[in-house]
Amino acid sequence: MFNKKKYQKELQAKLEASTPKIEAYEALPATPKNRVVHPWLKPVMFGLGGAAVVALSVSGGLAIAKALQSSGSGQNALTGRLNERKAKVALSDISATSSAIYTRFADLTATSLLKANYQEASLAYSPVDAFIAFSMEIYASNDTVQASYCTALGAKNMGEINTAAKEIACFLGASENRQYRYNDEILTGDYGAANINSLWLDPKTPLVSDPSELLKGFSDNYYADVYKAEINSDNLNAWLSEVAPSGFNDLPKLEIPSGGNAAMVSSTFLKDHFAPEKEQRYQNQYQSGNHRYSYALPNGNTRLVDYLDYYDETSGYVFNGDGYHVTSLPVGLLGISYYLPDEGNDIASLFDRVFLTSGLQGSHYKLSLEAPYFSITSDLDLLSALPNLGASSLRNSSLEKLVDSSKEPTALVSAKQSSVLKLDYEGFYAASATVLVNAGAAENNYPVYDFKVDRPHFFKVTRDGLPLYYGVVVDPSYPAYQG
Amino acid sequence: MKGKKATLNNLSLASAQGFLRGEEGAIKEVYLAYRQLLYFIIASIVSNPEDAKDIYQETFVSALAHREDVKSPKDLKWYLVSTAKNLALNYVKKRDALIDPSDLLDYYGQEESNGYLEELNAFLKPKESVVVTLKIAYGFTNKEIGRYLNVSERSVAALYREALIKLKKGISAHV
Repeated sequence: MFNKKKYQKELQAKLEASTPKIEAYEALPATPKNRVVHPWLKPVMFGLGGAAVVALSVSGGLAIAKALQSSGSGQNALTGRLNERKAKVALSDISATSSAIYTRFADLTATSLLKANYQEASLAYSPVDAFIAFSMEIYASNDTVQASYCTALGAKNMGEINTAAKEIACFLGASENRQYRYNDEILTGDYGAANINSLWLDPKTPLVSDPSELLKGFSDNYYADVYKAEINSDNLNAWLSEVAPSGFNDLPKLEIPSGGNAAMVSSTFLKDHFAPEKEQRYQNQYQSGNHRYSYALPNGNTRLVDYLDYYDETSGYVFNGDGYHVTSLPVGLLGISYYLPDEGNDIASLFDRVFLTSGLQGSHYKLSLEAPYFSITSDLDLLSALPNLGASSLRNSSLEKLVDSSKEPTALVSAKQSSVLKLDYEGFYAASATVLVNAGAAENNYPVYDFKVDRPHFFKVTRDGLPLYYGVVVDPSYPAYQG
Repeated sequence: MKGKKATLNNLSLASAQGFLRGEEGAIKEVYLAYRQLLYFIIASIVSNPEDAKDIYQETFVSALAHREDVKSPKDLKWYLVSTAKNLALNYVKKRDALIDPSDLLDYYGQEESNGYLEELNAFLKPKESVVVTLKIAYGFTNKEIGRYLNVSERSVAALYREALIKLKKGISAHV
């Protein structure tokens, strides 16, 4: 009797036996596969309309005059856009071109910004909201700066940049309480991610005669809401509280110069967790204090901090950099790559070398990783990234396609990013916002590698290879359990 | 709510995307996912095992070198299959100018001395072996096989039916 399944197995065995192996590819390192698999983002609608600001959503071909004179929350328009995101929440929908543009942006900005802002204190950088805020700014600026920005990022035109921003925003999506399956259990948790953007216009700002097409582009490509309100720290912090998804309660405090006539704002929220049994074990360890070990501070002192222990019997990998070593900790769908300077190497001397991991040689180990809890509150000045992005001219002139420059010449006066990042027994948590203000003007025999991250180090948070956060931990600062 | 990871047969879309970015881990995953299929395609066209092995290596090198030509990760499988097929056919054309394998299905009928296919399916003709292997071992649809062989879906279906009858008879006779 012909049995198709049996025949299939026999055929596959014959094919496998006859297929030669190419040693060069066999020897390549494998991608770790020890992630907890659960559904990623489930976009839902957010509430809008904080007391401090009047929220106006612009969508489709709605004219600016109508939009800026309307009132109300604009939730229908927002729902439409979030539903559109729902269709595109998987990384697989990011094209190779968009991925290359975004990765190029991250490469051009991460090292230089961390280096420029480093003052022997922990700091963090989100290339996601920086990319979106800068792209929005340049989308509304003149053709010359658009062309040089495209050249810097390897894009053919601004359309490719807009597409990349849209795909990255969709990749992060927007999520609140979501369910996921772990083994046979249905669990609920407010894990996920969101990227929420807005364009702010001071009520007195004179606009070009017909900005409707441009504003439609902001809505279509960046999912940006338009706010007609005074641009100051209080209003922006109120907005951030309004749009933050549930579960994201620890928010960065935005401090921007007052008096701007237009601002591009992009915020990113990211959270993922360990598998339930690991989370419980880590929580017990934290509360018992039995995983508090010393961490070496740059001034030569040490302090006791809590550590997560992670052991990987089969797919642990350690890469050898020039003066540092790299390994990864999976947190749900995220991966945290630790860049640990070798003992005796000062972290400041390695800024130019880390994060350039392609081509690093690595080896398989039974990985024993000890990673410190950390809690970072960080403020970055992003203006130093402008030359690398081919966008220095924004300091002299910006937003020519949005603001009537004959009445009020405009220039970029401030570019700041504030963020809060945490790693603890619950997993990884990050909330950040970038504000650009414009004004007048199996069985193996691998050896064991003890990777103890007990001194200042760099880290990068990725999902499926896309960098989402970069950071430097000098002092982990995470509070001990108080009972 | 149950999550489903997007895949391209036995390769994740993320790995395909990683391959296009040149990431080592993803290159290995693509190699592991498609090595059998690509060698089958080449060895079924090129009868000499040593030459087939050279072309097989060249396929991966060429695909990596020209990966920017792949517009979407979803196209990766077909890009690799086409590269393997074209490199193998180019070799055959250079080796024997008399052979014109523009219709791949007819070509399999002519090359009866291909030991590789005979070993795989003792009861089938080479062209039937190709159809059966692509369908049963690699999950190709009739449409995909037709696209690969430059023939209609109907021809593929007919060949597959014929092959199944022979397999049933042949296997029964040997039990």
